[in-house]
Amino acid sequence: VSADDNRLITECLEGNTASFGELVSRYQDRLFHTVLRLTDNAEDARDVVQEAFLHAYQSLHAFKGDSLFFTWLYRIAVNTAISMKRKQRVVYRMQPTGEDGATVEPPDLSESNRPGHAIEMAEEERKVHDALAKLSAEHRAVLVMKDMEGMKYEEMAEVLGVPVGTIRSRLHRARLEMRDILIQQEKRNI
Amino acid sequence: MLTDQILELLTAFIDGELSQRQRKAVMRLLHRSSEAREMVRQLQENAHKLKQLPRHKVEPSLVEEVLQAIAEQKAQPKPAAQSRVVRRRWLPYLAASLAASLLIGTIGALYWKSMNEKENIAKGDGPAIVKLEKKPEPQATPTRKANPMLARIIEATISDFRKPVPAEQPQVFTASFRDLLKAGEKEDQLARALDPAKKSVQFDITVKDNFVAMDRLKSALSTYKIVVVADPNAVKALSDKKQAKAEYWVYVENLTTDELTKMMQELAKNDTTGMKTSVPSPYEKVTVKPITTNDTQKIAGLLGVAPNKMEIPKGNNTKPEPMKGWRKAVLLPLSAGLQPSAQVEQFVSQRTSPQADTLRVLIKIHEVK
Repeated sequence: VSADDNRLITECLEGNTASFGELVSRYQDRLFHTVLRLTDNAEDARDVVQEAFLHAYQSLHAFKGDSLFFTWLYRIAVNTAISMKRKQRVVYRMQPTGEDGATVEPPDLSESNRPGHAIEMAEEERKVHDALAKLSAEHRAVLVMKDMEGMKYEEMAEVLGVPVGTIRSRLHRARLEMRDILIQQEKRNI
Repeated sequence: MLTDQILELLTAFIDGELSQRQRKAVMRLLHRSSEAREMVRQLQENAHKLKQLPRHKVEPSLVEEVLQAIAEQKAQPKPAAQSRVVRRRWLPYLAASLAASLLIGTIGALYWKSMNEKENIAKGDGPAIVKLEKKPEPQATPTRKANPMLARIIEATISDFRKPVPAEQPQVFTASFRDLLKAGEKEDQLARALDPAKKSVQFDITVKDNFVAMDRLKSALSTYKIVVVADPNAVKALSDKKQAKAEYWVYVENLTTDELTKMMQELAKNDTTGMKTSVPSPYEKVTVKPITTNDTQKIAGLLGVAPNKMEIPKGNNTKPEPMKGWRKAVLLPLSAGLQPSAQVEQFVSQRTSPQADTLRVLIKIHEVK
């Protein structure tokens, strides 16, 4: 734990909630950035991050300081987002199928659905965003953590609570899946 | 065609997670394979695209909302859970301090009341009648409604965090073949179960028809140049309808993880569970677990070899090359007390002893009851 985080945590435990505000201010953007990529929806991401902070505050005594405070917080938020996404997926699966037997598309919760947003985003960016959205929550999480947050396999294993071998195989499959989706997109555009 | 093993290596290469030796091996591969070069180029390009996605800030800031939620819920950093014995030790102190504070509070209130009355009498007023004016409550700014689902998930996440990260152990799990090979958790479990460091894996397959399933298994093994040497008693039992419900064991050694995965994929091709087809699936479910010590001893007994000859020597956890040429698996007779047949003896005499970093595989087949 960084000395500064440590000081703020001690102050929180002494009842100074303003110090917790400082921790929120320090990490909210980094957390929100990751969670938004996992949930695909700004409102959900905001909810997850807020709840993660609130529960982190209530469980602050459980934080032993043997890992970075951010890793601890990150783990709470990322796993919450993955679980939420999984639950949403189960709901989508229960939706009826169309007459042609094709699965009905889940409601588009992505920010890209916002009017005018597609224009704001560059075409390439939108493609990557859409491809990422098609991946499972687990695959998406490892890609976001590795490529966007630059985390090491070991850190990712700590956050997700799985062995390094699982991270390795999950990333491997996630990258191949992402590549296939992007290739398919290219083919459709030709 | 790049194998799964190579693709995984290439992924770790672009992630910068290879040892120096592995990196050199990948560089050599990239030098000679245009396919590998193209794959690395594509993966690196995609990783770069992800890195380039814009970073979003949370707006408006969550600080106010979080602090307000803490205040509204009167949330406190919960004290760490203590053992019952420790808590009991506190009880007398707690009771004593509560009693003391109650006493002090009562005395204080009486003193304050008497002083107040004295003051009012001195002013010429009667006994004080204090009219408490209700202060207007501060208008609470509306906050986001708490999401109970999120709260439950987070509670579970936090309690999980206190648990140590699980060791890389093979897990016992059951699935259909098709599910087993789908992307996701099951595949992760399979990857862990097939970890060569664990040295052994057992597939306990419940089938609809032993005879048909054994036929499929032989065919899948032969695709990877493995011939099943069958004990005549086991063959006889298999074709005898009265004994059809019995359990059958096929044992094979020196398999690489890749070979086994491909073999399972071959078997999964016949699994039509959940598909719209008139061809029924020969399998019900498969349970994956390590071979137990008891099973190892039983196999050693049936083969007529010492149990220590079944052990795989220590390796350095590198991925071995698959063995060349045809290899043999053995369909074991499970009838107790029988001497190994000529076929089993022949299998033992031609057997290559287990090599480091390979897998011992036991496939149990039994009909659904």
